[in-house]
Amino acid sequence: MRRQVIRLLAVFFFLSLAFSGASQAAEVVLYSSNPSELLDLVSKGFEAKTGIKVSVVRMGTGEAMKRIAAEKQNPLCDVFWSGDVAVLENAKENFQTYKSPETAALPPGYIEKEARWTASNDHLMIIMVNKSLVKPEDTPKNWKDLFDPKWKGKIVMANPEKSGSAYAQVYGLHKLYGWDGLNKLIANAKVLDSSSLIYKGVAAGEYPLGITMEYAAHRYIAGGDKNVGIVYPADGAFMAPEATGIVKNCPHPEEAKKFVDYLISKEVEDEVFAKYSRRPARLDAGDTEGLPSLKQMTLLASFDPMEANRLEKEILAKWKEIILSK
Amino acid sequence: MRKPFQAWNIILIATLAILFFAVLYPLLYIFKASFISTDTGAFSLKSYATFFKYPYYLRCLGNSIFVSGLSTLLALALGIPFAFFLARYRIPGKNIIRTLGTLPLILPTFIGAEAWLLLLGRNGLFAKGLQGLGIEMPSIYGWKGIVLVFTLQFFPFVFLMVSSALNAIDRSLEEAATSLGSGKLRVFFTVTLPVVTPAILSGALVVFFLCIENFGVPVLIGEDFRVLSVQAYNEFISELGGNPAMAGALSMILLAITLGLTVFQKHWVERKNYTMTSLNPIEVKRLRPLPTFLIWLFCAGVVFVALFPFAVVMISSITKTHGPVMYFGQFSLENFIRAFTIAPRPIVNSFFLATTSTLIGIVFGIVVSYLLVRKKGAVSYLLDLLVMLPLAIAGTVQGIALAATYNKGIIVLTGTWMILVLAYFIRKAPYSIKTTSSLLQQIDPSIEEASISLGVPPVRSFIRVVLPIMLPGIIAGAIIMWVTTLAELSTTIVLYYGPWATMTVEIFQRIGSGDFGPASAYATILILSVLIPLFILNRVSGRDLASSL
Repeated sequence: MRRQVIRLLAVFFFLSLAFSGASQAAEVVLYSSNPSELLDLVSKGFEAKTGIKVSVVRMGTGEAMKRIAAEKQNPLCDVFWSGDVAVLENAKENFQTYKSPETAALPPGYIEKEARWTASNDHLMIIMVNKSLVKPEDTPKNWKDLFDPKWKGKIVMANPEKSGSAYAQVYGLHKLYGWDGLNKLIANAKVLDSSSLIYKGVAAGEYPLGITMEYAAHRYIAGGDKNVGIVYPADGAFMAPEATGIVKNCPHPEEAKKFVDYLISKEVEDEVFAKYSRRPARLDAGDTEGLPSLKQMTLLASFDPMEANRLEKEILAKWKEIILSK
Repeated sequence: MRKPFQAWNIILIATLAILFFAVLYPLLYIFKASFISTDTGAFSLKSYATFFKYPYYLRCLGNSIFVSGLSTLLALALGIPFAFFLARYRIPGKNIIRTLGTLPLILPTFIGAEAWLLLLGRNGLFAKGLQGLGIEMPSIYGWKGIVLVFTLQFFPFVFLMVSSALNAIDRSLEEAATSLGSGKLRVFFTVTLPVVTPAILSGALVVFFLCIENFGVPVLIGEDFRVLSVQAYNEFISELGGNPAMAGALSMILLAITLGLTVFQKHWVERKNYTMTSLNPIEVKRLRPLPTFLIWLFCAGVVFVALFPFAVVMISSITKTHGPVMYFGQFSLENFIRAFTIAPRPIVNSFFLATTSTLIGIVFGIVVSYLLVRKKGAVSYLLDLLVMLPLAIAGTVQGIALAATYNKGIIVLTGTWMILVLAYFIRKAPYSIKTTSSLLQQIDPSIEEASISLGVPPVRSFIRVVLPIMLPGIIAGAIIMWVTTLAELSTTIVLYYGPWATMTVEIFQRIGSGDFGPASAYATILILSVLIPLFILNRVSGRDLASSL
């Protein structure tokens, strides 16, 4: 009896070991911070099209960069998808050059000078509104409207020290209205620890207004939530590109190239846009029902991800000082 | 008798070495790190100065003490009458109420938090119902929600401790007071209450400790109400580079509180305990229908409210969802299908990690129990201290200490699954040691000595003779280790890396991004994985599960 129990435990132990070890037959290894469902879509699609299996390892963007740097001598990952271009720019020595034929359809500046990373998608930074708490005539039209003291305690934003997207928002506002504007915003806003608390809180009706990403707000609209609305600020929504890259000396370079081609192909970008509301970087991308095309809105043209990267330390230090003293 | 001495001494030294490197050294390491400036690398008191300079950090400390204190008081207010009513009066369905009343203990607290969000969040089920009637619910986010969840999940500790003290009172004690002319209330306040006070105090300390070290609940429903355990994590883990010195300083402050509580508990409260053997148990009274009904209503109501959230999670798991939007009333198994097809890895990870650390923990637990019971001395006193130390450390603090220590240098464990196993078995082995050592104490050493004198080497004698007798205690300890490891969040969240995310991490992240449907599916799998082994244990050995925690 006892021996049987031990045998059973041993079998279980090795089974779980076998299950958890990454399979050696993997053809292309993807590190990604994107949601599981989205990763499932592209990996199944790629496998169906090419017969190459995608082995997905999901982790945060910061974590992935640390891993890729740590594995420099013996790379385990082939492709990373997707993170803020600044993050890839800072780690570009760990990525190899590859200029995909698909990049012809991308706007200038969406591929690194030596083609070490390629921007695949765009995030739009917008104002999310809960219509049950804000009357149509009160709804802000500009970023500037958020500085009005009447919104005190009614706006939420994420902590830029913790979230890259929140930093992009703070940088954009700094670009538009400087510290004067940011000080007014901090006086009105509740700063929450993660970017997900923003769209969740606004959708749940905890807060009338939130500064967040378009795709995150649109998930609720697409899900059938009638109270959620998106304001594209007239003084300029911010567009932050997200990039993908092939790891230097990666184990499956040929498959990796095919995978990057696939990720930035029109077909996939359109599908990701339609199903997950992530804007395609391609200029020839189609529109999706329920989301306005970029031509219908004002974008902040001077928003420069590379400059944002350079100013990061300086802006965050001053930001923390203001918050800690609040 | 030279040889046995040697064999066990080698094992003792090895055990002490493991404990030193897994428990003590990491703590000393972050203690040191908290005094080192991140900019210059020189000795500096800057982190502590920063803590006391900014209102922000002091507010975190104040918040921690406030929610823990308030939750403790409320847990006492629920737990004491609950224990008293069950011990003294005849109530219909008493056994079921008692068993269900201990269940909240073994269910992960952050799942309770998720459930209350589903119920009382502005978009929640209750809130929507009440809105139809024109009533606005106050927000559950912030300290109110934290206190609600803590109170409902931790009151069973008070209940268990107080009821065992109540059951130990001898009838003659109260009868003597009554025959001397004291009224009922006077007897209660002058005889019964003082006798159970140490138990109440112990319960209160346990609850306060669990509240102040808790990570999942405040992070999910605290929003910008920040507590110390969450802030220490925030300083350590950040997308844009953390601050180990500040995280170290916050950890030290939290550690000072939790260690202080433990020392207070050990050296003051435990000493005040009254030892009593109840020869004549107190009679269980039958009350008139109306008071009986009121008492029943209170006890059943508390249990119902405390367990209701878990039913909600299970229902949500089979509710149709579209992205983050849930359609209650429409059912679908899609959440489970997705959990098993799109992201099954966390489920496999959880079972693998819990099983591996439990297996190691069993061996470790047996060895340590043996050393503690049979090889008494100064060294084994040190061993006792070291092995029980993790029980006095907040989960996040332990995680931060391990991650910071084994991040670079000769042994790099941070970012591997091994560090999770190490943390789990160090944190959960005390449970196994408690169950095995109490059994070992009852085994006569002469049985083992007989085997040794017949020529069987000591370690083999132990395995052949003592181990089989200890088996029930070992199995009970293993099950408790396994289920508490499955439900672990605060250490895991600091130590895990991407592919090794566990079910708790997956649930936590999905609640974080607003995907309650899939989160509930994982939560239901987790709840069942915890309940089924405990149910079996209860049936097979008839153990009162919660009492061994």
